[in-house]
Amino acid sequence: MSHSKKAEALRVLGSLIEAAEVTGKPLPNDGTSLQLGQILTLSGLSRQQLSRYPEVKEMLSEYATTQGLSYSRQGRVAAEETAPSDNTQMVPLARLQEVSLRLSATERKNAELKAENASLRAQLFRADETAELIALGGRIAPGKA
Amino acid sequence: MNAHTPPDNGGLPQSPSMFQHYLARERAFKNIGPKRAAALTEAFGDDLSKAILDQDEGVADIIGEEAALNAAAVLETRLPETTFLAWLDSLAADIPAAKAIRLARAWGPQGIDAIRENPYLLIAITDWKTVDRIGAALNIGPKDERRQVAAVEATLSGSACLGAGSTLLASQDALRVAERLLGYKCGAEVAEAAVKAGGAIGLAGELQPPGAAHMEAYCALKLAQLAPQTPCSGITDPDTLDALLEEYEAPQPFPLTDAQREAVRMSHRHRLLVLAGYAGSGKTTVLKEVCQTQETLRKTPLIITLSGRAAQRANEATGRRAITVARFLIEQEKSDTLLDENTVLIADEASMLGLVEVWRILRRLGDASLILCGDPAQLPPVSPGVVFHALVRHPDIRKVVLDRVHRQDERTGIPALAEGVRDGIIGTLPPFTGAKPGVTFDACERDNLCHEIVRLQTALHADGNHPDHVQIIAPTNKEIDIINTHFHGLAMQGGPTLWPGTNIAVGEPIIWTVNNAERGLTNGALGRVLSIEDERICALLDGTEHELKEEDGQFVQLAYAISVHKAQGSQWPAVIIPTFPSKIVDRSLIYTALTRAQEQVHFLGSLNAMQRAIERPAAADVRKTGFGRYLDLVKEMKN
Repeated sequence: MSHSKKAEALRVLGSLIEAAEVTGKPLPNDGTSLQLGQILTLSGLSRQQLSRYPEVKEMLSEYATTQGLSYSRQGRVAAEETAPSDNTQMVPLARLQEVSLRLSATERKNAELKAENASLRAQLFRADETAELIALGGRIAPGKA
Repeated sequence: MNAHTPPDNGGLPQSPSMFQHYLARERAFKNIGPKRAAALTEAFGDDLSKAILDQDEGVADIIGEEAALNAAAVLETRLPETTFLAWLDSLAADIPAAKAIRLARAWGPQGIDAIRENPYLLIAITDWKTVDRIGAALNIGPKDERRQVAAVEATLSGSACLGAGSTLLASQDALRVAERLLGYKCGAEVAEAAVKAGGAIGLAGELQPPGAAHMEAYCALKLAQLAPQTPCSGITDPDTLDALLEEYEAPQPFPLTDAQREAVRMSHRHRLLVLAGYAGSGKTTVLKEVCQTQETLRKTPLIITLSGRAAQRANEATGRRAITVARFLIEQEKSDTLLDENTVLIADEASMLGLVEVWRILRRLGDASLILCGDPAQLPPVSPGVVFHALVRHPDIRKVVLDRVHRQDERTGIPALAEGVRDGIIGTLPPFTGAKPGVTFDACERDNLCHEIVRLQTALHADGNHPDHVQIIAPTNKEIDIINTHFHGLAMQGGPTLWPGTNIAVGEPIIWTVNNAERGLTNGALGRVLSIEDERICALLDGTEHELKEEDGQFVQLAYAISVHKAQGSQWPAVIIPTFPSKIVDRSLIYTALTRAQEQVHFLGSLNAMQRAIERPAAADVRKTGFGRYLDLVKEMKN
């Protein structure tokens, strides 16, 4: 039962994100972070669903990353777990691992995007040359022969 | 090209210092100059190309992410093409590197692999003899389908189709020519194979070269889309426009005709206006009024023409900026944006625009409106295809035809003769009796042509006509050679200084034969050599003095007589036209030649030859093209 509710919550949120991407109108945000309260209102999801299903948070986090936003507005005062407990600047291991994982995922994504960018640029160079080939009048593509 | 380059880095310069130089020198590597190239080499040494391709963070640290991404994209493209050049070199393919690079960049690594599998694909950038020699060297048999397909492609790109200005050829005709290349008979399956392989496009049982088919389909679709559209900036209020027209007409000696007024109105109601105006019908008056009314409404008219002289003439006639199509395209390529909704692009002398030019213009049109203005009785373009003539004839394209001769031009008799030539009729023409407005004809043999020209010129110059105001326009190269040789001989009698490396002397009339936008010189620019002092040559071309060099001699020809094609787009107060029997002379050639004159036309030669020429169908009608069919197809799709 709860499995289908989670699936439904993810489906609803997925549709909302897709609609935001198609229309170009981003999910509610204040320019730096997502406005989670408004997103919940818009999607009809409850705060419990947000905290209960990590996949929901993950989906929103991913979306925030693609938009160059933070997942959630940061408080002026750092959270206890991230606040240095003493002047050795230590952070909890779990938090460090989570951030490290997120960093490597972002780096991976960044590398993928850069490769795609380079490939698209190469295609653009090709488009100009293809136009010149078309202007010659003859064969445009290597075809099947 | 270097056949000894090892394949591991695809033929790129191997040593770090060479590669560093390559990075700094190639303009495609944006934002990488000598300093950055040196810093990259210092950081990565032999591994630099790999680091760039792998998008190593260190590269972005040195030159920034944008430049690093661009460098990776450039290298990704360059690697396979340098390998390709080395391969062609090893085959002694004798294909210009620029063309090979173009093909490699357009087709990418997979395309290059395809060429290695089927070297006959090189027919896209070279001739049949070259490609067949490569095929034979790689042991491809005479009956191999790859060779047969290439023979059809060579036929479509050759003198039977594109070379003759056509873009369409009946399958049977294509096969007949292909058989001559192949050296044996072949059946309809070869044409089918060519279509299947992408070497030809089938259009209602006939064949087209693919590039031409693509351009025709694009132009037909785009023009059919534009035709019913209103300008992106909106329609001008009719009352405002009527008031503007009234204001314009008030001080004019002649009111606009209904057709002229309708043309101006249409330019404010539609995104596309096809304006067909025969000689003396007041086309320029319409263009001036279009420019004036559009400018009043804060639009920007921009006139473009194929030749530099035509641009100069359009500028003088309308008082507006007029540039060549080549200049327009260069400016557009530099700009990141297409034309905006407030621009009204006016292609003057549009009958001279070939398929490629129209295609390139349409690709840059953006939100602008377009006016195609020309004379459909003139010669078809020098380049393949017929667009303007076909648009004028197509029933579904809205157009304004100006066919009433303006009173101010009627007195010369030139428009009346031009109309007769269009209809295949020439009446009686009086002999030359001196310099006065009108049309004359004097019979003479070819052997006596130059003496007759001297007789006419002497009389014309005596009556105050400046030598540069009298131009000889000859329909065939035979007469051009005879005239230029004769008058050059006369010029040499005084022992003038010669342009080093040429047979051109100081004071002689010349024509510039290539486009060089950077130096402001256009193909067809006419003028004279003013002075020759050692290596410094000063020439007046299209009214502007140019410092030329010894090596520029290869781009210059004598211009006592010029061809009708070179004369197209220009006008002179008086022209002399020799007409002798020739199969290539048709009514559009005679029409175009005689309408270059503003006041006087003097024919010399054979009246019978002239009569036969104007009875032949116009060259534009002889060309076989698919453009009209694509327009029909667009209409069927809409229905």
